[in-house]
Formats: sequence, C-alpha cells, structure tokens
Amino acid sequence: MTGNSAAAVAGQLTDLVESVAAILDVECVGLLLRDSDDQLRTITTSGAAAAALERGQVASGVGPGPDVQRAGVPVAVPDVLAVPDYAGLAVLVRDDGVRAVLSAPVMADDAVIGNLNAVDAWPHGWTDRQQAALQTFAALVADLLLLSAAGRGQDVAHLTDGLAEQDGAPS
Amino acid sequence: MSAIDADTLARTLRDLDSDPRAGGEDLLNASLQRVVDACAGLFDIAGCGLMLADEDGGLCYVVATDDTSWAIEDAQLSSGEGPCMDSFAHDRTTTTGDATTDPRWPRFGEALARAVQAGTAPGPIGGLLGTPLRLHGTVVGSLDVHHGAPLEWTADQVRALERFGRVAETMLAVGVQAHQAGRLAAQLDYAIGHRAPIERGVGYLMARDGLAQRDAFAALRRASRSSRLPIADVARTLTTTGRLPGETS
Repeated sequence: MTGNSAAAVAGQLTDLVESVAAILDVECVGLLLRDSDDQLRTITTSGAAAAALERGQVASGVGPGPDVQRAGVPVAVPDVLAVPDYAGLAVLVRDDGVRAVLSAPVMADDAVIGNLNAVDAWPHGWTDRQQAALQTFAALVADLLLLSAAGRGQDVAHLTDGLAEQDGAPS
Repeated sequence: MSAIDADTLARTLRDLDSDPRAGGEDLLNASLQRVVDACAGLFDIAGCGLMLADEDGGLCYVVATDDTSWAIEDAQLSSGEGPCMDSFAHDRTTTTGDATTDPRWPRFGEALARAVQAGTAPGPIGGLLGTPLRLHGTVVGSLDVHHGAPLEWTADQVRALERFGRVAETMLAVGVQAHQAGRLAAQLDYAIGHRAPIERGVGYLMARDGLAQRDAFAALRRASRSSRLPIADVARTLTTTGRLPGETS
C-alpha cells in the first residue's frame, strides 16, 4: 500500500468520524482498529478528549473500548470516572474531559476488528437511539475498510497497519 | 505492464470470498443502502433515497428506504423537475414544505398525485429536502429526504441533513477509489470527468437560445440521443463549433 493511498483512506475515516461527532452532537469521536499483530491502534480522533481516551484505554487495558472488544456489543457508560472497574483508566483521563462514553464494535467477518467511541465531557446517559446510531456508523466504518482493503488487494488488518503509520508511532 | 503479486491476489480473493459484503459493487450498494437506512433511523423523517448522475448527465436512483421514497424519485425523473433535481442542478440544498402543492414544480406535483392514486407511493408525502452530493468538488448526486406531512424545515434540520450528506459522500469516494465497484463507480467517474463540459454546453445554449437551464439541458440530452453520442461529446462539439450535432446554420 502506498503512503498516498493510506493517507486517502485515513482522510476518509477522519471525515466520517467528524461527521459522526457532528450528527450525534457529542464532544468528539475516536476510532481504534486491530492491526496485523492484533494490537489496537488509534486510527483517528475528532478531538483531544477522544485521543486521551484511546491512549488511556491502550495503556490501562480497561475501559468501554476493551469491553466492546471482548463482548462484541455496544457499551454505554454514563461516567467512566465512576466505574470501579475502570479505575486504571480514570487516573489517566481524569483531567482530559472524558466522562460519558459510548463505544460500538467495528465488525468484519463476524469478528470485532475495532471500536468506535463517542465521548462527552460531562456525565450523562445514552439513549437507545444514540446507541443504535453509533452502531450503524460503526458498520459504515467496516464497509469503508472492506471496500478500501478490497480495492487495494489487502486484508483489513494490513490496511490498518498503513493507517496507523499515518499517525506516527503505535498507540 | 503491471505486475501481479500472486500472494496478494490470492489473499484478496480469499478475503472477498470470505465476506459476502466485500463484493465490490454489491458492497458499495449495500453501504449506500446502509447510509439511507441510517439517515431514516437518525432523523425524524419518513424516508430517504439517493440518486446519482448517470452517463447522460442526468440522475438515476440507486437506493431508497421505502416504496414512497422510490416513488418520489421516480416522479422527479419522469417529470424532469423537483427539489432533488434542483439541488443536483444548482449545487445547493433545496427544500419544500409541501411537495404536492409547490408551484415551482407543477409536473412533479402531478406525477406524485398519480403515484399516490396508483398506490405506488403508499405513504403520505409532505415536506421534501434534497441536498447535493459531491466528489472532488463535482456534484454527482443528491440525498433526498421526505416527511409524511407538510412542515417548515428549520435551519438546524437542514444543517444536520447536509452534514449527513457528507457521510454519503465519504462512502461514494471510497467506492470510486476502491475500483471494485463496477458500474456505479464507473458512472461516478464519468460524472466527475464530464460534468464540467456538460455545464459549459448548458450555459452556451442558455446564452445562444435564451433558454432556461432546465430546457437547455433537455435540448442537450435530446441532441445526445438523436446523434447517439455521449452527452459530454455533444457539449464539447457545441462549445467548439457553436452547433449541436446535426444542426445547420
């Protein structure tokens, strides 16, 4: 995969993530995907709070994103700072405006290949409509990845390697 | 001559085969269907459809959420007018509070009435919004949304649906770049490459013959069909020679 084509796909994912944040009317949205080494990598975020959440989840190994990776279903958290199981994450994101988080799985071949996370800076519940909407957008992310990977003769994990490199060092 | 990496090719075929959604054209169609389904699920609307430019420089419908949306798009294509046709032609979001009575598009209103009477538009039809879809700065289609009752569109509603149009544009861009999407991608590629000469041809006819934009475009299409030449070639001939194919001085 050429750098240019990886940049094009990364740009399209960024456009999509920014649209999701605007349509859901949330502070920001982030996207994590599994690379060919099965490591979760931050691909794009629409704001600093989502970037902090993704870094914190990768560093601590806990949070709604990792829960989604295990369960394969959306996870809605009214306040990550109030969840005892996320104590390791809470200390990392306490000052980053990460409170309410909604996470949805990105699925391909019936496997969870990543997660899409919506973040707000204040605690609140998530409506069924918001949860369904984020899940729908996660499915669109999967479509985008499958189309791009097929067009470039790659599998999605290797496409993810190229996308993560667009953002520099591994998460 | 291009080299083919056998391992990559085998892996791609395996991936495509293992995921029925990854079938190029099928996947793009499925993704666009998901886009309109998502639009209907996200917003307080009765239905949604998506039309794309065809090789004749006009529009054809691609996906819709329901029979009424199909009927609305069909009524616009058969009458040659309507808010979504205008959004495509003028590159701006176009709304109507009541599609059935809007005096801007009388033939469209009549076509809708016939569709309701025939039962092909089973749902009630009120407000309608069309927002242009662009690729590389060129308008290639329209996202079309309808309400089941007359309404005044608010600025917030329009802004949100325009934003949702960007999601559709992203999926279209991916489909075209993937080169796996067959007819739809080729159609969009053509639209991107040939829209400018067609627009210049329409402008030329408007100035030369004093026609409205819609009538100038219709004249260009008629000339394309009667000469059996692509509409972009007809437009280029017009702007180069000052004459449509077959026209005498």
